[in-house]
Amino acid sequence: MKKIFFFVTILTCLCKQTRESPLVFSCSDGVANFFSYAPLEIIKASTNQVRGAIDISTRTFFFAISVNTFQGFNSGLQQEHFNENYIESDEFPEATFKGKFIEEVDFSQEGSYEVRSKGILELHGVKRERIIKGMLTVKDNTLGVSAQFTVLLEDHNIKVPRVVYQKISPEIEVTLNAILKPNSE
Amino acid sequence: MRKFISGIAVILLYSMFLQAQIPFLKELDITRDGSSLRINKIYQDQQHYIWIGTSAGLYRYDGYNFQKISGSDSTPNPAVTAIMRDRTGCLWIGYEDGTIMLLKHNLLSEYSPQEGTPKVAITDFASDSSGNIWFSTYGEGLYTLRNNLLYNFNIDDGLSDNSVYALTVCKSGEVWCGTDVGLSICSWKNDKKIVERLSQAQGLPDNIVRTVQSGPTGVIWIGMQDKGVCYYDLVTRRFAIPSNLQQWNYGMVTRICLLNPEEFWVGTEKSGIVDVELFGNMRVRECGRASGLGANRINDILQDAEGNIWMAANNILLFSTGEKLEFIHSVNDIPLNNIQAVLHRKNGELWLSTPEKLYNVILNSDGSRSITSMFEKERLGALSILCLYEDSSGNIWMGTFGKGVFYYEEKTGTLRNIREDEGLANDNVLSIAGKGRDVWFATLGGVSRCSITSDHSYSPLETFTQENGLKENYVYDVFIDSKNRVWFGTDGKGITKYDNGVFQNFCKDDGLKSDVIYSITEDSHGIIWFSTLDAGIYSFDGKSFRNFSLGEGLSEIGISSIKADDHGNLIIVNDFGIDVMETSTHKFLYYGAESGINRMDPNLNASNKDGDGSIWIGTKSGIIKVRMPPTLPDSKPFTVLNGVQIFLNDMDENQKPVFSYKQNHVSFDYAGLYFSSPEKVVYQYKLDGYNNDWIKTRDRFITFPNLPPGTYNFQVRSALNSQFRDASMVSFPFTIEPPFWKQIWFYLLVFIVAVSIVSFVVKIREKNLRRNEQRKKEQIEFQFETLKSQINPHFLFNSFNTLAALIDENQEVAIIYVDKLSDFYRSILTYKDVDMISLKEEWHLVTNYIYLLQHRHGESLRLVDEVGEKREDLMLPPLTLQMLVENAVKHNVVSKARPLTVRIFMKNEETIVIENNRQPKTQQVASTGFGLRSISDRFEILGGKRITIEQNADHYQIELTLIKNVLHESSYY
Repeated sequence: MKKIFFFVTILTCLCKQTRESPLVFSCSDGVANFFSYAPLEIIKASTNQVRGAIDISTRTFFFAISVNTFQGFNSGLQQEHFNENYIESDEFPEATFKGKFIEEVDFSQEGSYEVRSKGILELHGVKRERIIKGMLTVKDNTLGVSAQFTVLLEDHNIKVPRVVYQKISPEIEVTLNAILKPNSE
Repeated sequence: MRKFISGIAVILLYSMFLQAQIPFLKELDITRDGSSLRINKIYQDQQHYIWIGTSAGLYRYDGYNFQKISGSDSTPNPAVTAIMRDRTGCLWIGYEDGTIMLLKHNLLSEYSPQEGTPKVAITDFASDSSGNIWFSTYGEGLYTLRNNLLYNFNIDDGLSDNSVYALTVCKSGEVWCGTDVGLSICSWKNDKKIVERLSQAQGLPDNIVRTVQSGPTGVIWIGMQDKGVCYYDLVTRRFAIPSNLQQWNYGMVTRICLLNPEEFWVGTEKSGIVDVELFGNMRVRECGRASGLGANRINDILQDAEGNIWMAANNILLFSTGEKLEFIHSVNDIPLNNIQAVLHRKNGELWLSTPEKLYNVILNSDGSRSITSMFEKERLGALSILCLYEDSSGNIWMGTFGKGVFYYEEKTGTLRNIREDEGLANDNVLSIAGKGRDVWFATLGGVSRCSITSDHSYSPLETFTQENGLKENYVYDVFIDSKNRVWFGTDGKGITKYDNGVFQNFCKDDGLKSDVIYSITEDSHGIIWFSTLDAGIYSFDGKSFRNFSLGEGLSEIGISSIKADDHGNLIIVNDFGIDVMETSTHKFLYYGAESGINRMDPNLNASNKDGDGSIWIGTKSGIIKVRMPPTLPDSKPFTVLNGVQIFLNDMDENQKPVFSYKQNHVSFDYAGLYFSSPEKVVYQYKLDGYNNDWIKTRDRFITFPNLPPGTYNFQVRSALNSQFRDASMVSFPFTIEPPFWKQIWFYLLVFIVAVSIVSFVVKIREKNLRRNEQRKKEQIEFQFETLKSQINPHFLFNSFNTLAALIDENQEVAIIYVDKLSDFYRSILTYKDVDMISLKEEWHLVTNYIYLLQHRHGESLRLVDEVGEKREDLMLPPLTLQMLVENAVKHNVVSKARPLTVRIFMKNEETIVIENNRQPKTQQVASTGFGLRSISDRFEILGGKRITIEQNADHYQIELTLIKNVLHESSYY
């Protein structure tokens, strides 16, 4: 949490220096879903508390999810397992992705752009560099972000006991949707 | 993958470049819709196909056709900018627009990882030591595919620049990138990206690195924008420019192609190809511009598996057999025609004689050549010099036709003519050879010998002819071997050896097939080789001769000269081309029209080996220099199967090769890839299961129509000059399935069905037989019982009593009675062997019986006939009704007070019922129950229903279902 406030504060400061058009867009109500398609069980969970910020002047961005806000598991026990056994949300409360867009985007033109972003995905305390493809939609002075990617549990040191292999997929599919608004002073 | 060849014109232009000593180049032009395509990349895969990336997509070349490779009609064809084959055999193709396509099993598919693909041009591919794929882009840096995830290296990671021109993987596995701001060396270490940068600060001569190439000797070669070529030594970690390349005047370097450790070709933007030969510690021996290319920009250079070199010169594909053959057709506009003798002197001068002139060609230090006509004043050139020899002291000996030998002492400038009057065997001198101080002359009148003396003169000549030991005076060639033996090739008497004053001759009697010997040489193992008029070449190891002719791989037998080089090869010159034979393996290579040799009609022994081991050959239209690399390149065609067709339709590559019986028209499209000379490739094919013999052909397409079902294995191999022994071969096993009615499961099914039918029939038959047997048995029993009951004394006694009474009362009735009685018994006898009788007949019998009974019982027994018509088509076993009536009388009281009424009627069409009122006798008659059971059984055996019995207090009723006789007239009679 500290990190993001620090980050947003810096971005806000940057923003204040140039007043003509907003440079930093942010949100705290983005939606993230994850899906695990295992042979024996399909697990879906979502949160609508994704925080994020994009600085269009440097093409950098930051997204963060409090992992214990995920809801919609098949059972309460499953949610408990998710938080305690796998993702260990007490120890690693945040999942973050921060980085930079590879493509140049003309943010002054309304429209949808396919962009690839390169950044560090931190989950379960393990940082991984990733390239994630998504859509950026510039509309009515807001920035829409949507992306879909997969996470290999092994890459983030999330151990799944052999017994539940049939119930939890080693590859988790994640979708992210957020609409970022310009930061007001 | 869809293939089509249409719209592609292949134009072969044989360029004979004047002026410079350059390798032969063949131009291949890929055009589409009339305009030439720009060629960006050339690549050869492990199957030896040449892949060509053009401004309009990818083409595959097999030596014969350019095939456009495209996914589908709608796929646009952006420019191909990078090609690489990975370890799994998949071909990676990078395009100008950032697209990456994968070609696997001839299927083209787009590479679309979840990370997305670049939006800018793919510039190069590389595969590191772990097999990870790397690709560079112009604008997005470098990508690498690692554990199925795509990673990016760009400026933020420390990369010199996001625009990367080229990649190479060094020996230790790091990936080197060339950019506008120096070199970056990228790798992974413990899952962390490592980027090291090298630029001018570290000694890189020019920061703009256009191309990088990892060399086998632990150096990275670097091609730069302005400063030409430099290298980075991985051990000393220093940059250096090879000496003599410090001054680079050829402009931007586009590509470096390392041909062998001693030579590389540099592609440039403005100056075509620059050929760099190295020796020692990175010193340049020769650096010449192949000026024939003009101001062409070279986009790519490739050396293929055969050692040929391919160059993408903007919109022309240039092909060269490489440094092996070089041509000099003229020097300073003086054409070098009809060369009769060649001498490459120790001082580097090249002496050439034509029928009119004797030229001296000198290679100047700037790479240019100058030419002078020698002995103009003496008009020596016009004497048609046939042979040239430089002795150990640097004096030149020249043999002429008709004018003897001229001896030129260069130091003093003296020229002397040696004729027959001075002891020369003959004035027609065909060959001069020497060793140490000895010089030998081969003439049309024997051989002569002299020795050089210390005062640059020579001793008196000594001559050998037929008179003093020589077998034949006509001598074409003289050769002195390493053991100082002198060999003479004669016209008609074979080869003669002179050793320590003794002549020894070998001719047809010694096993030679030809007695005309033209040319003699010795290889590095001391084996003597010589060529004959019409029997190829021979080797002589001191003990025996061995012949090599057309069957052994020689391409022609009209051989004009044979020379051994320093690498163990024989250079065999014929009218049409050059055979190179590796003496250790007896492997042949051929250079002909594809290599730029047009019909050359060389003169006898117009060849010479220089100090470097290169062979110089004089021809009708210039000089050819042959310099084979230390190891001969792969000389075998590589056989590939381009496709399999069923009824001339391409077979799906992923389909299992199992065809139905209707798909029996199978065609094979194959090729033997041999770019050095595709026209020399011949094929042998065989279809195991159809024909077990190899069939030789030049076709690259074969069809087998109407193949019967079976298992086949198509095998094809390709070779040069019919040397199929170690030929590369491909095979395609396939199966044509028999139609279902010829398949084993069908046979089995038919068998099972047949067996079950037979067993069923047998069973039925057995059952019938059993039933017949049973019936017979029943019938016999029944007959026995019936007879027993009919001759039952009681019945007879009653009948006779009745008869006795009748005789008294009425004799006429008595007679009728006797008639009826006898009729009854006759019927019993008649029907005893019959299975069934008609109802009508039975009724007749019953009537007789009733008549007999009624006379005894009178009114007490009544028979009510309600049957109506006694049909003849309804059958029943004989005496059935009679027995039932008899039963009724037997078991019931028959008296005037209680008369017994037997009523017989038809219940329906086929069912007859015998009913009587029930008044059982008080004293029951013993009954076996045999009668009723027997009737019931007989009905069943005859295929009818069993009888049914109904009884209540008043009535006793028996139902018989009669058997309908279809034939109407019973066949049982």
